[in-house]
Amino acid sequence: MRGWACAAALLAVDCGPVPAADYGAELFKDSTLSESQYNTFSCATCHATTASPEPGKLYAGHSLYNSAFRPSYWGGSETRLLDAVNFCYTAFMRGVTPLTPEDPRSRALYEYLVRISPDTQAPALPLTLVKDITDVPRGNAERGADVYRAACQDCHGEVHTGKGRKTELASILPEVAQDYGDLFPGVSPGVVVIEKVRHGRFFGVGGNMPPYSREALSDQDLGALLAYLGL
Amino acid sequence: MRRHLLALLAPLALGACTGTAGDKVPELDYSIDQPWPSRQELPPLGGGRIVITNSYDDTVSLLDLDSMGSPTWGELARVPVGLSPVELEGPHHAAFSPRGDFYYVGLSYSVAGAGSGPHGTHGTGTQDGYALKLDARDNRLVGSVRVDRNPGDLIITSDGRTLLQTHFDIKKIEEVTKRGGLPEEMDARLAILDAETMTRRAMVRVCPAPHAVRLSPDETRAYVACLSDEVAVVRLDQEGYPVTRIKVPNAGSTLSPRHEPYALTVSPTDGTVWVASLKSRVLHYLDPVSLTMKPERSVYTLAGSPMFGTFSADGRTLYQPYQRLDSVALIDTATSQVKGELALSPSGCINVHQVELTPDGQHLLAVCEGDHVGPGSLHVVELATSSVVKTVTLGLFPDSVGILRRKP
Repeated sequence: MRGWACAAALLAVDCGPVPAADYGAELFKDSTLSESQYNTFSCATCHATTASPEPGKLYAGHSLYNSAFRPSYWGGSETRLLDAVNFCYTAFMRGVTPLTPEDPRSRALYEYLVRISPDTQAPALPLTLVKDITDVPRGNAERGADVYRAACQDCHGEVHTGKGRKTELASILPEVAQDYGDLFPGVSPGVVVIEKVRHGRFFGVGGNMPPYSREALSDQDLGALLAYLGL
Repeated sequence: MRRHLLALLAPLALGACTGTAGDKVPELDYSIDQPWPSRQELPPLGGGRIVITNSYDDTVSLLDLDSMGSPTWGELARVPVGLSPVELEGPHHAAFSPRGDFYYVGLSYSVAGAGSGPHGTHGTGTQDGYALKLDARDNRLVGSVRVDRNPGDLIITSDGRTLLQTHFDIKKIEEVTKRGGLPEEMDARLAILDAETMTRRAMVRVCPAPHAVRLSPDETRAYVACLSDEVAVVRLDQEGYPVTRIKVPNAGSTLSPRHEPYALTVSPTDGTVWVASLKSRVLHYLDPVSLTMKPERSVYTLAGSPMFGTFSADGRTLYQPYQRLDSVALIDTATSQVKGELALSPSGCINVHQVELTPDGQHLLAVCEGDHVGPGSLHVVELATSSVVKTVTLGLFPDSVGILRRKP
C-alpha cells in the first residue's frame, strides 16, 4: 500500500528545475530540436552514445561518447564542438538558424555531451571521406542484409516497400535505382548508390543524407549491401 | 512488485518534467557556467600574425610575427577554414582589417582532385564562391557573402570598410566561346563588398578572367590584372564604378593572349602599376597619370612568370618574385633595372607565389606553392644579408601571405 502511495507521490511531483543534462538527453533523440517541419532527424539518427559499437547498428557518425573534449571534429575540419553540432543541425536536420551557445537547448545538449564524456583527454577521431567514387567488389548478400538493417533501414524502411521509413523523402531501395539508367546513362546503378552512400548530400548530390566515411562503413560492407540490393 | 512499479514510473515522472524540444523549455538546472568553450584562442596578436591560405587543404597557417627570431619558430596553428567540413572549398587569398580584429578569406571552389562521381567532378570552379569573415581571436566564422564563381584576389580598403574581390573565371571564357557568345559575355565581375555586414555593395563587370586587384594610393581607383592582356581601372569614387581597360603592348586576344596578366603591384609612393604576366613573363609598367603602358619602363628579363610582389616603404625597390627559378628580383623602380636577386630554390621553394615585407622592412616573407601534391613552404629572407633565415612547412598549395596587425 505504501508503494502505491509512493508511486502516486512520484507522479504528482512538482516539476522544479530539471537537470540540464537530463533535458539534453531528451533533446539528443528528439527531431523537434530542429524547428523545420520537414526534419525527421535527431542527433541519435546518426550517432551512438556508447563507448563500444552498438550491436546491429552502423551509424554514419562517430559515437558521441567522449565527444565533448575532443580537440577537433569532422576529421579535423571543425575545431569547436558547437560548430560541429551546428553543421549537422543545418545540413541534416534542416535547421535554419544555428544554435547559439546561450540557447537553453544548446546548453542542455552540451551538458549531456559532457555527461557522456568521462575522458577529458579524448583524442580526435579519424574521418576518411571517399572523394572519388569507383565501383567496389560485390560481397556476401547475407551480410548485406545485416548491413541494410544496421545502416539503412532506420531511415529507408524495409526494402522494396519502405515500410517504417523515417520520412517519405527517404528513397525506397533498391527501386529508386530503376531511374538511374535514364538519369546517369552509361553509369552502373550500383555506382550511383555508392556515390550516395559515400557523398551523402554533398559533392553536388543533394538531399540531406549524411555521408558514410570509411570508418563508418567499409568497402567490404558496402559491396555486401549492393549484393543484397541486387545492384 | 512495488519496486517494479517505481522503476516504471520514475522515468515517466522525469519525462513529464523534462518535456521535449517541441514543448516549452523547462526550467533548467545548469551545472556548467561556460558551455561550448573554445579551445582555439591564440595568444594576443602582439606585433602581428602572419596568415597564409593553404588552398588545397582548406586551412590557414598562422605564425607569430613577434617571435620570428626564436629557434623553434613555426606555425602557431593551422586552422580549418570554410563553410563545409565535408568538401574542399579552396581558400584563396586573404585580406586583413586594419584594426587586426578580423581577416577575410575567399573560397574559390577550385581545387584539383576535390572529388568525383556520377554527379560530376568537383573543384572545377563551377559553383559560386564566397568571401568569409573570421574573428582573429579564435578564427571562427562570423560572416560570409556569396559572390561569383572562381574568386581570385581579395583586398580591403585602408579604413577596413570595403572588400574587393575578383573572379578568375577562365571557365566563363571557355563556355562563352563554346556557345558562340559575345566577347563581353566573357567578362567577370569585381565584387565590392561591405566588410562589416558582409553584403554586396556592387558587382562591377570588369574584364575576362580578372585576377589581382590593387588600390591606388588615394584609393579612388582599383587596378585589376586581366588575363585578356589588359588592365582594368575601376573608378571607385564615381557613381556606377566606371571601368577603363588598358591593353598591354603587343596584346593578343582574350582567346589567345600573348601575355596573360595575373598579378600586379602598386607603388605606395608614386602610384605606378607593375603588371606581372604569366605567359610572356614581362613586368609591364603602367603610368597612373596618363594611364598608358610605358614599354621602356617594363622589365623583360625575368626568367620565369612574375607573381605577387611588394614594394619597400620608400617605393625605391620592388621585390618581384618569379617562378621557374623561384627567385625574387630586386627591381630599382627608378630605372626598372634588376639590381639584385634573392634565390629561394636552394631553401626548398617550389613555385613562389607571393612576397610580403615585415612591418619593420627587415625581412621578406615568401610563400611557395610547392608541387600542389606535397606541402608548400614559407621562407623568411633577411634582407640585410640576403639570406633565407627560416623555412617553415605549410599546408597544400599555399597561395597568399599577409600580415594581420593593428595598423598604426
